Amino acid sequence: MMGSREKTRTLRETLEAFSRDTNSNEKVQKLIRKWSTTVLIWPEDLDSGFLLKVENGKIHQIIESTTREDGKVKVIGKSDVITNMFKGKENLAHLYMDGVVQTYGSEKDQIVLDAVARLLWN
Amino acid sequence: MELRLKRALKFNRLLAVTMGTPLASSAFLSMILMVGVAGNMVNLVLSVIIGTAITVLAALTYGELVSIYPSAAGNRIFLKKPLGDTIAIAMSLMWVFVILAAAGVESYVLGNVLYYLTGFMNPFLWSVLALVIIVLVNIMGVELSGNFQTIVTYSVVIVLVLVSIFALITPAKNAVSMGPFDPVATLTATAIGVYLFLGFGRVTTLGEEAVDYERSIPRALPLAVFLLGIVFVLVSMAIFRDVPYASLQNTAIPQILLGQYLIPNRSLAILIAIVSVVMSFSAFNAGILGTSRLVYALGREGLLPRFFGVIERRHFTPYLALVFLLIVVLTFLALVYETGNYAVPLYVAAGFDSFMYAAVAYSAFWHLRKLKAEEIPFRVFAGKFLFPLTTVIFFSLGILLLLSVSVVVTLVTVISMFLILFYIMGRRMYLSRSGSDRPS
Repeated sequence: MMGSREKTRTLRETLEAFSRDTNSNEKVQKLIRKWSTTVLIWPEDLDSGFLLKVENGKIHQIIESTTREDGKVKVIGKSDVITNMFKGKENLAHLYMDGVVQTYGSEKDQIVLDAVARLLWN
Repeated sequence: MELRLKRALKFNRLLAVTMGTPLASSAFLSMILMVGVAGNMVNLVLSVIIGTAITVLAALTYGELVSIYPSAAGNRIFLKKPLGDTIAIAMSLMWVFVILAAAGVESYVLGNVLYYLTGFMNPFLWSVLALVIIVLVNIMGVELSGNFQTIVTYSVVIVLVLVSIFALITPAKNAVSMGPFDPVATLTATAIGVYLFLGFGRVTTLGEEAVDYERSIPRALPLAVFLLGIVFVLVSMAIFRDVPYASLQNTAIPQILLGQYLIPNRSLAILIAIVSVVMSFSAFNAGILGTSRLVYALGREGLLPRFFGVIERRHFTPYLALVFLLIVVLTFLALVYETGNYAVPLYVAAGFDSFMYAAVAYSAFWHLRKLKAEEIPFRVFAGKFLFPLTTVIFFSLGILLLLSVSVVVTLVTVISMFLILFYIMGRRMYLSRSGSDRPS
């Protein structure tokens, strides 16, 4: 069983790998080059989450956040589910439809996030 | 202080979104059908009041479920555990077609209103033009701001209430039969009246903040339905009181006739026509956007053809899903114009709406029995009694409506439901065997 600190570390590493993949993937960059937003990743079972700052399609910063109020787009769920999701082991659309993961934000932002996941892993 | 003001504004917005979708121009056509069945003022008013009361019950069931599932997936997720995923998806897909049938009727009214305002081209072409523009605007990703939508909805409500009060305080233009009370006529009109509230649950699929789902949305839903009920009582009374039934039977724009009968120089009629256009565009925006998201998601999952999951790269919108919706709405529109009959899609929409409310109420009851008290953030008082009651009421109304239309329509509706169910079962089986329901 992983402790909170280890779960947080694993999630951060996963998000950093996700950010490298996103920033270097040509197809993704072509799609989201005009997309700027902030995405809050909030693991329900931990005390803090991560805020991804996206500017013109590039994830510039991943910073730790201690409040659920941050972010224009929010992805909320159990830490292991979110970690698997950002590793491409779980399908965001399925998780959303099954209510395992909650996503909040504008229609457009949610679709972009889904499209990025699809381009990276499908 | 600032936080309190912010919360109050947000609650107002949630109320406006809940009220905005049902406030469509096709509601006036539904009122014509209700007037025809009710036959007198007592039956008509009672049917709207009873319709409002039972829809408030449905709104409470939505409130409890949305607090359990603070997610934007809506009906599908509510029905999944108690009824199984296949039935939940099939009902959600059937719901899409019901919304599209209603959109067909809405565009029929809109075409006639635009023709009344402009006096050129024919209503059908206006309907088609309006639909194409609405879908193009959606494809271009134009989003109305929350504040703008709130102002529009409250303005529409204020105009409708003022016009109705004006109608009710001036001498009646029509010989109105006040009674006697007929329970069968009242119940049948109530069943049709379910259509008036079609789409009130849209607010649950918006993707607002989590805190809204647990606290504000469950409170906004029943309050908004109650307020809508007041508006519909006033408007239906005004139409029944001031527009002769013979005129109502031959029009697609009863709201405009009301304006003409109240002030013969067209000024009020034009104001009502403009409000009606706003109502239609607002309802379309809500209905088409909401259903396109579901079609997109089902395309993504492979339950519908995968091309529905394709997005337009400049504006990030599911354009193929939107084009598909346009084609289906145009088909329903053509059917309404061809047959001159808007009653059938309204009856079917009201009937399926009733079955959906029955299923959601059953789901609320199921969750109440299975979950612990602390797992349900918003608990309805006496839910163990109210939820089964709501299920029985709406299931009975759905059956009543299916029996009210011709055998052919009933058969087509039931067969369509089974075809969708078998399609989803087959598709799920195929995806499961081919392993393509899992991410690569």
